[in-house]
Amino acid sequence: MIVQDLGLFVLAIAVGLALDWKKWRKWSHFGFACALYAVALAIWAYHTMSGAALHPVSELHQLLDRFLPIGDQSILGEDY
Amino acid sequence: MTKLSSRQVVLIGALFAFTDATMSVQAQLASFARQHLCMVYFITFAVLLIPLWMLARVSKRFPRQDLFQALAERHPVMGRTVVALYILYFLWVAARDVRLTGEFFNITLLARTPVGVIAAVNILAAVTLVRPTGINVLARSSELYGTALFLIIPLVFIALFKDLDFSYMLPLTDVDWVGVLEGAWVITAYFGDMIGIAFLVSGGAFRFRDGMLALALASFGLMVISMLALLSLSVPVMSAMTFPLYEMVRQIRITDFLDRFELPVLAVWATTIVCKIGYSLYLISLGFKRIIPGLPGQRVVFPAALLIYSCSFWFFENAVDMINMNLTMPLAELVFQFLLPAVLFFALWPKREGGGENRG
Repeated sequence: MIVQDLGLFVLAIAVGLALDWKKWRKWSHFGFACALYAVALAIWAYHTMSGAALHPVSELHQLLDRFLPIGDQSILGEDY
Repeated sequence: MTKLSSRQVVLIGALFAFTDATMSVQAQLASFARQHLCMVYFITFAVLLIPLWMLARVSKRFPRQDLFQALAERHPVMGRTVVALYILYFLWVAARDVRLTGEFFNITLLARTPVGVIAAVNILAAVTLVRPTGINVLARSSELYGTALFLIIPLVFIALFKDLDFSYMLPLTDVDWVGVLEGAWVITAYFGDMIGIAFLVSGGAFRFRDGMLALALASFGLMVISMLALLSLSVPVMSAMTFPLYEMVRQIRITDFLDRFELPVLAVWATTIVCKIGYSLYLISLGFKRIIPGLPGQRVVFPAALLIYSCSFWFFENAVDMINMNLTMPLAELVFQFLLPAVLFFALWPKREGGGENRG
């Protein structure tokens, strides 16, 4: 399953690179696009392979939750 | 430089605010503001006029540039840092929209289709809108589907009118102001995404009047829909549901012929959320283009879309976490929706003619 997920993502990157092939005027711009692809792939690989240990926005929520008076008990509704 | 018409700007702004504010946040609104749900929208409308006014003033000072461009040229280092921060913000907005839509369709309609596949289809649709011509196709799609979405609202009102129970609004005078303010806190973060139109519209074409109209359209439309849900479902039921507006639309039966009225509604809504993902994708690409001079924005669309896709799964642990986050994330979003527009308002103040030479 992990190999399949990663393989599909790499395939998407290959399609993206093929779409713009020969259109780049500067190598640095092409390098920037490749860097973006690399970051996206690294994040995807981390998500699929690590069992998702760290979720930055969820962690931020945990951090901010301590400082806010609004509780999250209301997501399940209230007893009337 | 693409010029957008006033109508397009209004519809883009309204869709920016409206589309994902129809999701699970409505249940939280009902649990906070209860029968005074409509008050939340008045507060949100009034509060958000401030950043919209500031950004409209800033936009007016640069008649031949967009805001990212103005920032990068006026303050090369700090300006680019602010642009990078806004790229992160719109990346977060897009990732949230992609994941939220994926989870929503997975729960309601496509239970056997993986969230990843639904998210991939959404993001691919957004890429198809943005990549060929930038904002042009997006603006025209918004005109078509935004109009259709806002026309559905009176239709829902007519179809549901016989099922409304106005006793759910009682007691009318017993206002829980703290609850109303908590509701406004939650929904302002969603509506605040609308500040994106100031960055989207280039060449000083963003006028405060358009922003105000967009905000009014979104606020009024959502207020009507929320009140319909409240009057047809009641506060306890609405606040216990994950997607109360969807459940409300499911109640509608227009003869046997249209007993699944929610399907055409969802079809239009899904297209508008793709448009919203497209706005964020366009803004991310535009931001990169302004940070790196000469970079063709069109060719950054696909890598940026893949980044959004991977971040939409990495950022959020699960669907419940995304609902909980509605309460805390406004704190982080207010930085981008109120603080940074204020910083831009003062940092991009018009230069004095003649500079320091006239002082002596």
